[in-house]
Amino acid sequence: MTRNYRNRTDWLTPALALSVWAAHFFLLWAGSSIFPGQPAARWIAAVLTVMAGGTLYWLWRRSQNRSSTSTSGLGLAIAALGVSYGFVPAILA
Amino acid sequence: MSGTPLQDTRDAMAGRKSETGFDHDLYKLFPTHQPRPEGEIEELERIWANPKGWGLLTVVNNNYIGFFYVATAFLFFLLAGILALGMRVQLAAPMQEFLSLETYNQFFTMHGTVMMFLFAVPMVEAIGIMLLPQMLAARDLPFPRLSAYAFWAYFVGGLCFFGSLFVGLAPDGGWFMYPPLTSMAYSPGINTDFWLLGIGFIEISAIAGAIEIIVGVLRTRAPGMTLDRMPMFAWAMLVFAVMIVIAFPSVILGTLLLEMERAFNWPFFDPTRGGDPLLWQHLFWFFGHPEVYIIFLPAAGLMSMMVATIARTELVGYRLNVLALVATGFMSFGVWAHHMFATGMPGVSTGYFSAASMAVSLPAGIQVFCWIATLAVGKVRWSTPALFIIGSIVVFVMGGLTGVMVGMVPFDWQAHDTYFIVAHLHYVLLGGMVFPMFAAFYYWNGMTSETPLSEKLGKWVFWLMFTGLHITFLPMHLTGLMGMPRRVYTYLPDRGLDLLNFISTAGAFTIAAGVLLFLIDLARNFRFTTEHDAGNVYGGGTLEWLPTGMYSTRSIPLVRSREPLWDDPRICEDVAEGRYFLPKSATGLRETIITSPINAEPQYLQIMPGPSPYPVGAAVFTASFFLSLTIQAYAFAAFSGVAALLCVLRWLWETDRPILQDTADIGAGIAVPIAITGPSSHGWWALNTLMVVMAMIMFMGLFSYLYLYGIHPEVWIAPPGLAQTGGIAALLAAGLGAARLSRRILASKSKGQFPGQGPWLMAAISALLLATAIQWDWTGWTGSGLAPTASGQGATVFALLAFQACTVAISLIMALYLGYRSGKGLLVGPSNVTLDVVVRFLQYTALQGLAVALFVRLFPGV
Repeated sequence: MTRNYRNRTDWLTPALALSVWAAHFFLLWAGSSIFPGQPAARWIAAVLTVMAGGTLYWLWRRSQNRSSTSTSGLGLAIAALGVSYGFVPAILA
Repeated sequence: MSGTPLQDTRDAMAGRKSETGFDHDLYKLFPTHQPRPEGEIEELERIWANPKGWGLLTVVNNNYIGFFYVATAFLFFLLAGILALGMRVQLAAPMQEFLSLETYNQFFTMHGTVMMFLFAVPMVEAIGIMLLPQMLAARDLPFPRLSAYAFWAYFVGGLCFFGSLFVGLAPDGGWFMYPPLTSMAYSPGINTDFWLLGIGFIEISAIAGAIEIIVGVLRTRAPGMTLDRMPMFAWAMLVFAVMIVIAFPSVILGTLLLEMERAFNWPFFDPTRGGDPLLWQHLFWFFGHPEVYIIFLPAAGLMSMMVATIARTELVGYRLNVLALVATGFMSFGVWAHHMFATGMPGVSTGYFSAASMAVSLPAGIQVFCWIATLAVGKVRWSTPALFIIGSIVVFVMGGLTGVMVGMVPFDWQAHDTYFIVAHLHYVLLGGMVFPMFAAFYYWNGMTSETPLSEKLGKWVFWLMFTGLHITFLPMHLTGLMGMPRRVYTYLPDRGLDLLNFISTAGAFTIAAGVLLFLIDLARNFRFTTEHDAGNVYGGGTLEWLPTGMYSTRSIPLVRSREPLWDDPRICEDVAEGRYFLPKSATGLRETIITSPINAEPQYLQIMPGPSPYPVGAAVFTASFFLSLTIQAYAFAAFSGVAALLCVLRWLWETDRPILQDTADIGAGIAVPIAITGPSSHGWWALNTLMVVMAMIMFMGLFSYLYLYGIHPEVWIAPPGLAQTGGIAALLAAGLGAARLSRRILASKSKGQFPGQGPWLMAAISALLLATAIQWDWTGWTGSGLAPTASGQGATVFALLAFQACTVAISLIMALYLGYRSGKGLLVGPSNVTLDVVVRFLQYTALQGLAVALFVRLFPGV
């Protein structure tokens, strides 16, 4: 039992990381719906994935030393996995 | 020095900063040591006393409303279960004639609809309303009358909706009501309208409950209960409520569009006039798949709490579990179109949804492993809840695995619309929600009953339900893979389906036997009470097991850990002796402490409303409004709508009453303000949540517009000229400014000073400007030759304008209400809750009008 009455977990970073996943997913879908079966959809997916990866990396850098106990690492990992996994259909198509 | 808002939030969340400036050293004053004066408990009991007899209709306290809610939701579970038994008898042998074809269609539609809309979502919301105040040690949820309204709308409307079955008018198009089957061409009767309008009040009820839960969890937690220390169920309910706010607007819009197509011939889903039936599927499943998680996540929260107790140890991976809840909430919005793999979507799109469907199993898996790890490290007490919990894990994992299978596109093409899907969804829903619910019934029964339920009977209940479930649904995987489509009324003999179907029917009756035994247990042992409950039978460590009365706990404890009852053996006594916050009524009224959202620092005292007949009145007339529309009794519908509105306004009248007292002592000499306005107030959060709901409806409307343009661009005509668009935008901007001026005038007055008629007149001018703008917008489009019945463009544009017109109408009513209050001298400076709400709603309406007008007039701009 602690006498500390402040929240000690960085919940914001995982929430932002998952928001990155959501934005990446919805934009991928929009691209594939607007340009069905066209190479443009694949290029859009590639650009979005690079941007999402960069944003996640930036969030990871910012999350370092921000909280004593943190779930940001796992949140970022889940989001990164989701982003990478989402890109796979564009490669295989 | 303060940084950016994002930085401040990060600092507060990372524990480097107080959110409110509250001095944490004051916490050292608790528990207090001075003896409390006599009579405080008696006063609390008097203030929180509830009417008896017929007066119970006016009760708003969560102990009663929560119990009524749970009982009603369980009643619908039983009714929908009886429908399932009827279907299983029909399918027990080939070529049966137990049910007619038409009746069978109504049975499966009502079974799915009632289970999803009248049982599952209301049940988890009900459990939340019942448990959350005690779990958070609040006196009640922040808007008790809203809870009462949500319950009564659901109760009255739900029973009338179910009653349609007895007159042969029940919906018969399947629980997801796909057009064109449900269009006027193929479903000309009012059965479909019963579904479309009948669930309208359920949607309203669900959103009302969600607003209550979001504000309740974020703003009424006991001091010291930081986000890190919130009970898992509170986290789950928070994610659940946010998901409702995001997902339900989509189905609200979908049902409105389909009803408009049926009633007014606006061709949203008619491909011959630029509509598209797949638009319905997108709108429905954007709600429908998150709905599965909306049901599962609160049950997962209950599981996490019960697992810790039955294993007699802390939950393993609390933070991982919270993260998993949040991640599931996010990812569940990326899987809706996996219900549409067979519709011929572009290949890459199906790939994205397939990938997201696989990805969502990651956070679900994290939760399951946390539960297994907790059971493994603890010492499990083999009680009835323990059996249901372990059974739930087994069943849910089995359902999850078949979910991964149907997430793969080629497999889904084979299994789509077969009994394999029926088996999958029942494994997921029974394992993910029904079993945890039964576990919770046994576990938390001690809070509401004088005697606990029978452990011996409970174990029989579990084994009957567990074996019955597998006997029923395991064979359905095979019948599905053998090609038996779902929703068929009968099948031919000697196709290998006879025995498997018979086994499924036998299993269904085994489940029913388990449920019947549970009812017998209830009849024998359950005795509702709010005072002399059986208590903490299983030894839980969270705050709902503190000694309570109608006022919740005598004093509101300072929370120092996640399981305070395990970590502080004296806490029950200290709380009951009034040694913590708010040991008495500080104002002589119902009240609770509002705390900050991250660190739960005390901020102010909220005065809470008491019993009132108006929530039930508003609910009855809301339900009657929708049901009258269904049977085309338009005059009575109009009467009901006006009556519902008057009831709502009357109930709100008392909630913003002037209080002479500025501050209140909440214990140990700590004084906090009473009833504040602005971003720190709980009402501000509630209105923001409502505006998110409205913005989501608008957003989905704009999506529909874009989607139909993408499918049928050839029917699009040119919008009105840019000059007109500029004029409409200027009117809306003027409306925005007038609303702002209204608040400025009031703010310039000193405390208690009457500001004259200026503030409300400016609000009324703002509303009139918005009304003029929408009128101009509407006539501009009709002048350009667009008609709502002509094309998908016309239908979506006028639907968006109709939505804006409704919002403006509400703004006008609010401005008039403000004027009436001003006339009664209730509007005094420098700030006022009612004016704050009206002004912010006007501002939102202006921004929504701008978004709609500019978007549809400038895009595609041909």
